[in-house]
Amino acid sequence: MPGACSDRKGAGDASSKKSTGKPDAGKKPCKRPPCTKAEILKPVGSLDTKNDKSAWLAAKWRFDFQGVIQGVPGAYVLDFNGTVTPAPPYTRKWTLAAAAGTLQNDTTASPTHVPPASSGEGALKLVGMAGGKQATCKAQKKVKIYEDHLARDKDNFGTGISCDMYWSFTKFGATIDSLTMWNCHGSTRHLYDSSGNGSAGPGGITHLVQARNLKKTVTVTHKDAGGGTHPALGTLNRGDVVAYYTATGALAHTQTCTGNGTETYGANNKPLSFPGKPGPARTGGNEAYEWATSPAGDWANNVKKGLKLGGAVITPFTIKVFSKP
Amino acid sequence: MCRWVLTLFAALLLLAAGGCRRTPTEADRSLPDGGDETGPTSSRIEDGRMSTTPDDAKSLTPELLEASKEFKAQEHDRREPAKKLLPVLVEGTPSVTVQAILGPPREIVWDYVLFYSQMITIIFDDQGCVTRVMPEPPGGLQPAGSQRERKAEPEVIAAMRAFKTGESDRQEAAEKLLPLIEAELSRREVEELLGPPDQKTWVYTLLEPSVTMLVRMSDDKVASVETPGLEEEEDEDSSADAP
Repeated sequence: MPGACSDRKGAGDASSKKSTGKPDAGKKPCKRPPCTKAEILKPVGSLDTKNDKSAWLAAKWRFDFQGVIQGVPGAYVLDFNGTVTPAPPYTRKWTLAAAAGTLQNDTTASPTHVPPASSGEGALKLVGMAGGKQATCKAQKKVKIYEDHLARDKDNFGTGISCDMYWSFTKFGATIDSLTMWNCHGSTRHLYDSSGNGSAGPGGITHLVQARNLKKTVTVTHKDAGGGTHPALGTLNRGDVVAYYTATGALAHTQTCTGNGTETYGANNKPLSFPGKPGPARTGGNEAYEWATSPAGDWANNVKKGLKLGGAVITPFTIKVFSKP
Repeated sequence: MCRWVLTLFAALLLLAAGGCRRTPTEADRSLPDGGDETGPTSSRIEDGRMSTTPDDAKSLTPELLEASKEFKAQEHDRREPAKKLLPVLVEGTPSVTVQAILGPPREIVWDYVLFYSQMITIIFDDQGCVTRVMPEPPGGLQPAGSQRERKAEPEVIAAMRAFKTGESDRQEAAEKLLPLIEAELSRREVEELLGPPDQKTWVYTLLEPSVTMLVRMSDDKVASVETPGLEEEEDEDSSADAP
């Protein structure tokens, strides 16, 4: 165990063979206790390394080092866990960069993460302690906190890739494969609060299209050969949901506003191609089934005027804008 | 010893049933979409006789025959033979030829379009039996046979008709029919409920778990072939070689 020693920089690290610092007179060099290993078990992944699939939380559809700021719907905390060996005599000491939040119970195996109020990223560190001094072993990972679920999902899934069955994406060095299809409503729900599994029917997003949150309603003017138009949708804020209804009242599509002008984001969010039949191209339909950004309100412009489905004419489409609950 | 004999007997029963865990009907056997056809076709493949159709024998060069053998024999990494065989799997290739070249698929996926962004996807295993349904029926996938009596209910019969003809909202009919898709249902039974799918896809694994080959079928012929993950793997390989 360490006794009285100089704490001058350069004199202390036992792992450093060549020390240039000189100890204070009468005191021996300060050596850090040589604990064997510090290991951060959770998160498995790290923002600054090439990750593998084990860093992906399949049921939650995010990497385990990705958080969101406090206060957003569906806010969560990151799961931290680590070991220092041998313990005893060594104990743990966790620290987290302020940009990534703060920690409670920072000497336990699983400190509690408190997310920050704004987005950021920073290092999570675990060091071994002995006799109140830092030991030689240490471990570090980097975590990232997003402003909302939309920012995190958009960072992960991006645009221009399939969201149909067996879609996959590569991010932070890991290729993640999905055995299931993501649809527009499923992504709208996940972008809001991280809930669901990416596939949802209209019933899965009723909380996002409530009449009390309705901001604007317009009707699409369809044309015989596509290229229809719609009136302006007014001011669109980040998280607003744009919903498209057929003339028979069925909810056909939803998309989430990013706050960047009229931009929206979501799965299967590429505007329909003419004549606007349901289903992916492989089934003879006109849906792209891609992760995409697209201008709010444009999704149904290419639906042919008078298009019939199930024996009923489904045009004109109505577009409704709902503010984020 | 007794257990071994029983196991063998069970395996023989499975083979006799066309690979499914239940005895298939005559109609099952006549389905042209792999599955119950997998047994006899794969037997031909294992025998090394590639001439399932006259076209096969003409079109496959010795190199491709070797790639085909390697594809079927390789359990872990089929990427290299897959790359050689991809040019052969052109649009219009009969499904029986695909099976002769690649062997039986790991899964067969049937898609039914309900509405915009809404589909029912049914996944059959390599024995032609339902293993998964998406979206999952309320209460989960029910055991085989548990819903049999409900299929005779008038409202179910009406829903089956509406779903197949597309004369009315398919989503409404799907709500009634989805719970009736049970585990281990054969394709024939699914087809009796929902009619033929809008899309059939044969799924082959090239490299577990991320690289697959999706052979889209239309009228029992290849409509297109996709290899999600294969390009990414190549990119990763090439970037790893970079200085």
